[in-house]
Formats: sequence, C-alpha cells, structure tokens
Amino acid sequence: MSSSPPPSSAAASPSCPKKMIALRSSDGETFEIEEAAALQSKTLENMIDEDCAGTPIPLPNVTGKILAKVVEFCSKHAEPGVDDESLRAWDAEFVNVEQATVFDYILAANFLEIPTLLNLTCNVVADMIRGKTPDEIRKFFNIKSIFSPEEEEEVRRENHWAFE
Amino acid sequence: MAAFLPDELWRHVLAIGVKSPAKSLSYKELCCVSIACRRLRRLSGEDSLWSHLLSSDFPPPTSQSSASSSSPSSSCKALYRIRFERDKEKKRLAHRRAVMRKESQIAEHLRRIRDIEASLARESDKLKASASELSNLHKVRQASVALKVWQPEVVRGKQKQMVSQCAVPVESRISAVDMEFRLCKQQIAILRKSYEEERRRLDAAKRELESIEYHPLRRCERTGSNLGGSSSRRKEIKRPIDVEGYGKLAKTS
Repeated sequence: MSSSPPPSSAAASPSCPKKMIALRSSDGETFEIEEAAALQSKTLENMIDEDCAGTPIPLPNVTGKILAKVVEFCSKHAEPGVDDESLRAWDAEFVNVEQATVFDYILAANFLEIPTLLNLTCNVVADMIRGKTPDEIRKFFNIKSIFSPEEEEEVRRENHWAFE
Repeated sequence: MAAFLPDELWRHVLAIGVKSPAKSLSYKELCCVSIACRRLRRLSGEDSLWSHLLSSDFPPPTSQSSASSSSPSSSCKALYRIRFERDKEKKRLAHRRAVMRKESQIAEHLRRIRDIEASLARESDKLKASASELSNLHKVRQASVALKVWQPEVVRGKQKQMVSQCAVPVESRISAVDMEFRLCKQQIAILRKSYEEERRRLDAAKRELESIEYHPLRRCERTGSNLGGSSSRRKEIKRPIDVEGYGKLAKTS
C-alpha cells in the first residue's frame, strides 16, 4: 500500500499517458492525482471541466496531511480489477485512525463531494456512537455544552422509555 | 470535536447509522445521543430518522398502505415510542401467558403422577395379599401331600389342622390366586412405565419453564409456592414400592 503520489511533473510525459491533476492544500503542499481518481470527487470533476489544466487546484479547506490520504483513497478506488472484499478490507484499514482524523476525512469528503469516502467515514462515526452511554458520547466527541438542570430533567424523561 | 462537524454532517452520520444494513444506530443509540447535548438532541430527534425506524422496526401490516403513520400533531419519535411501549406490553403479556401455560402443564403432570402412585400403592397391596394367600395355600398343599406318607404324630396333627382350616378347594384356589398375582405384577409393570414416562414429561416441562423464564439478571426462585398452588405438591415424590421381594414366593421348589 504505497502512499506516495507519483513524481511531480506539471505536464503529462509521453511515456505516461494518464492525465495528472495537481492539487494544492491549504498549507501550500502540492499533490498529483490521476484524472480517473480525481473524478471520484464531484468538486474536482467540475473544476477540471473548467479547463484549469496546468495550474494546481487550490483546496483551502483541506490540509496537506489529509489531502495526501484523500488522494490515496481516490487512487485506490479508481484502480481497476480490485475485488470487493479486498477493497472493503483496505477501506477498513484506511479508517482505522483516531477520531479527529476521521472527522477531518468527513469534512474533506464533504467539501470535495466524494460519496464513497463520505459514506465510509460516516459509518465509522456511527459505529463509534453505538454502544456508548450519553456520558461516554460526550467524552468521546469532546462535547462541552451542558443542559440546564430543567433541560436535563426534561431530556431524560423524554428518552427513558428506551432503557426500561 | 463535535462542534467541528456542521449540522448537515451530523445529520448524515445519524442517517447512515440508522439506515445501514448493519443497523449501527437503533432507537436506543438515538436516545443516548439525544441526552448528550442540545444540538444532538435536536438533530437526533428529527422525523426523517424516526420515520425510518418506524417503518423498519414496526412495519405496518401489508393490508395497510405505508406512510400513514405520521400524525400531524406528534413527531415520529413520539409515535415510535408509543409503538415501542405497546409492543413491549404485548410481549410481556405473551410471555406471561407462556409461563402460565407451562405451569399448568406441570401441574397436570404432577396430578397424573400422584394418580399413578395411588394406583401403584393399591396394586402393591393387592400383590402383597395375593402373595401371602399363595404362601399359605402352598403350605396347605404341602401338608395334604405330606399326610399321604407316614409322619410323627405331632407333625401329623399340625398338618391335619392346617388342611381342615382351609375352607377353599386348594388347587383351584392356588391357580386363581396365582393368576391374580401375575396380573397384579403386570399391572404394576405397566404403571411403572407410565410413571417413568410421566416423570420424563414433567422434567421436560420443568426445563422448558426454566428456559422460558431465564433472565440473566434475575435468579429464578421456584420454591414451589407458585406451582399449581399448594406447596405440598413439591414434596419429593416417593419411589414406588419394590415388587421383587414378593415375586420370589411364586416359585415352587
């Protein structure tokens, strides 16, 4: 599972027929992605159509660290001939990261409109919620806002039926 | 961190969880999320989520058309709660009925077992009586045979007394009583088989009751006070009287 993008070159070289798209992260890093992989992102698809070939597409909402992983994801999912099972296993490994990173993936997938990545990561968060008590949910997602005593009473009464 | 995900994405997470084939988020999880904070309370209470749960957990019967479930005044979550509690009550009553059915089966088995025991007791008494009579008759017969040969006068006297005291014709009486004895034995054997069978059924019913009533957090105390009413029925059932000892007397030497 190599994670490094192919060596950078602004224009496609004759020996490599695939068209490469250049992306720039919020912190100035540049990445290259094959067109086929880039098309996984509806956002990028629109931008490519607008004929910005050559200049790196700026993505102010995504850091370099995350963009690298997103490129990796899209490239993997654009690969031909990968069977469902191994792709699923690869996906599972891909999201086997800490919660903050998963959230970053969600934001990036949302911004770049990558349905596969969005669904994958949202499922992960849903699984994280499962089996947790409200207190654990607060701790895990670092939720600081608290109910007033009356609200607290109300919300518990509203929901206690699920725990009888 | 949750603050860093906008509403729309939290909605997406919850929707995916609720709709996923793996059913990551059920009614319970949504309620936990609701208790976590104001924002999540609002987001987790939305109709779109609960109407999905309503149709997947409490599908309307096929005769009814779908989407008739949301009433204008109550939210889908409120409706779900109503269905949920109704369903729970139904299940509780069904469980209660199952327990009662099983308990009455057990009472029936116990009643039959007692009846069989009573019959066994009667037959055993009859057997005892037959065996005893048979034993006496054999003695009389022996005596009358012995009288045909010489005996010391003392012995002869006793034998004459025995023969004269016997009011019935010995030979025919012996065969009658012998027949009675055999029939008794047969009957006892049949009763014992029924007894074993009934006991097996009782044990099976008891196991089934235990399994119906099993709950990991409750220890089932069956002290007998709720089985068929009276606690006396839970006394250890005595073994039927042993028949073998009387069988030996039937053999002539």
